[in-house]
Amino acid sequence: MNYVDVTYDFKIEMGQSILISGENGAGKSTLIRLILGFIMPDEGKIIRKKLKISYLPEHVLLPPFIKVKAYIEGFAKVKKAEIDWELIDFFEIPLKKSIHQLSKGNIQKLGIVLAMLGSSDLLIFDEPLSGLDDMMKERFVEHLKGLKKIGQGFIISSHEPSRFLCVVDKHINL
Amino acid sequence: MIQLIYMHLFYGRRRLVYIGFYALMIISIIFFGDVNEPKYVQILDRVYYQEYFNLTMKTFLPMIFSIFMLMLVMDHDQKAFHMIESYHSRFFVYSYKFISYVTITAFSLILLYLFMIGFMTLLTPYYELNMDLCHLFIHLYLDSIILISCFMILIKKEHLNRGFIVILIFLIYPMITESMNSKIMFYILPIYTLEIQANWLVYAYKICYICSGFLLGLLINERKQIYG
Repeated sequence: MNYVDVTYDFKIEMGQSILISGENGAGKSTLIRLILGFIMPDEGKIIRKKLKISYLPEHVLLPPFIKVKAYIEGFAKVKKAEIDWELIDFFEIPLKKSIHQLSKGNIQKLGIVLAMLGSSDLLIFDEPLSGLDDMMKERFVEHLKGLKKIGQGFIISSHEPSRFLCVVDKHINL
Repeated sequence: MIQLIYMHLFYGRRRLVYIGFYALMIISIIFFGDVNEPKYVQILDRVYYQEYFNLTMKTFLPMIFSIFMLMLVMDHDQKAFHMIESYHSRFFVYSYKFISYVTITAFSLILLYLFMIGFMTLLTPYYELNMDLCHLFIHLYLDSIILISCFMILIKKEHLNRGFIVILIFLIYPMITESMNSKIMFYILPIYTLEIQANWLVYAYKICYICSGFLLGLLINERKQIYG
């Protein structure tokens, strides 16, 4: 199945932060799926080490009728990670609510927190700002700055590249 | 991981649907047990009633339990698992899903067997523990795992209807094999039929079949293209 016809040729170093931007249908999500190994390229190959990649999909789909706190705890166990309650407070996630009661923005924030659980070699965010209000967008960028300081590598795909230019090492415009 | 899979499977109202369907199975068993017949008739025709009950269970349980399995495994291809697949591996998620389904099936069948024995012993004077139904439950367990493999290979988020096709084959297949009386048909798909005689040999064959199904599923899952 051909979604886009684009040739990619680049190398991602450990600890590097990359921003991918482009128009609708340019292939941002396809590139991310290629990096994740979710799809295979039609030609060429992707050489990647066996990495622990935390991934935030474009559309976060979580099971409804489960308490947010219970789900975070379950997810943390799977990732063998300790829960960063400060981060949860930082993103103002309503822990007592069930997932089906959350707004789109809150589900997105929950997805971000789930992706950030544990120690990953690489973080990949596909449209992380979708559904977030301006304050949360700023907080997210602020948190990325913190991650960059500690040498955490990440890839972001976004329609709002200007927000991330200050935190990334490389900008790929498709 | 198993705990998270359980969360994905048994949330809120879905849990009620499973419990409801399970209760329906138990009620059906009691219904087929002819508990309303006069006790003296049941005692007089003990062998007849026992045989009749066994035969009914052999026809009814594979049918109803396969539908229960479909309900359970139908939603296995959830997008929420992609976040874990990228962190651990597809192998990790697939294996744990398989183990979870196998465990749930074991618990469901053991409970069903215990309920059946309990109710039948309490409500009827003719019922006696027998190996016939014990073998049926072992077959049912192995068949269910074969079904799990088939479902996990064939059912995808966008192709849920494939599950119904598998169920249809599963239900029609014993009827075809019965009329054809061919061993080759059984070798192709070793699911339970009334003609099965050599139990232990069949179990071994089914276990080999399950292992192959699991490995094939792993292979297909590794090569699967994940969009969306």
